[in-house]
Amino acid sequence: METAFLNGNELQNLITINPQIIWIVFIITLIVFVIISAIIFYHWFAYGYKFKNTLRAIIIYLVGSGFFIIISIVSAIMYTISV
Amino acid sequence: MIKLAKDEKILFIARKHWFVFVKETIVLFFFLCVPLLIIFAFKFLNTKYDIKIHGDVITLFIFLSSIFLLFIWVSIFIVWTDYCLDILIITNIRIVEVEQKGFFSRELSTFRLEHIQDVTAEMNGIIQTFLTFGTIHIQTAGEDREFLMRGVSKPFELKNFISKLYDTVLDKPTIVKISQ
Repeated sequence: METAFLNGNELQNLITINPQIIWIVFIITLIVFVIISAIIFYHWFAYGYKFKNTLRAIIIYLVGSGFFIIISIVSAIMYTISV
Repeated sequence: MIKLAKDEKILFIARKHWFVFVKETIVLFFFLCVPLLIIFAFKFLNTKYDIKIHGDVITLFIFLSSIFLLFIWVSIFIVWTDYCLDILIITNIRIVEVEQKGFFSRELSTFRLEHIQDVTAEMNGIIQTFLTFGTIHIQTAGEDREFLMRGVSKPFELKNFISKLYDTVLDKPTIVKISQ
């Protein structure tokens, strides 16, 4: 991240976020997400009462998570192209 | 979930009221406003200090917001898992209380129906009264322990159910073998 960048005669604060940082953040998020999801699924299967409810919960969980993950991938690609 | 003995049947599973879940997740819903606050904060800083971000700012903002919202989404399910796994299982022989405390702490207490000494149900406050949820205390003999479940749905109906079950267990004839 670079700050305090001189542009012409006036002082401007130009922040450049390296796309690599964006992808590192994304990968760390994905790893954390996979670990937490595994723990959640273990609890649902090990201690859950009805398999049908567990399956429904998994579908809702994965659809919601997938939606946010896809948005983050698309936005990360678009940001990388824009820099 | 629990291993049932021979001739043991699950009669009822008491769960916490949905309001307990809503109360625990309401903070997370407030966190949903954080990306909007960031926009306002950035606009303020931009006008004051003339900060400019290289590249497409909107896509960067969408990226960070989606990561943030993903964690909020996962947090809601963590709270939901904790909420769902707190149950009171009533069988024709015993009562099993399961309490999940976070992901790596789980408490399971069992006591036989004939050991029940006293069952108390209570609802405190306007919300509990209108939504019919509260606390149930079950006092058991011998060990002098009290089992407690907070935020349980329809505590008075549950109390009556346990009391009736206790009466049927006491009325049941028991076979006593006398060996000489």
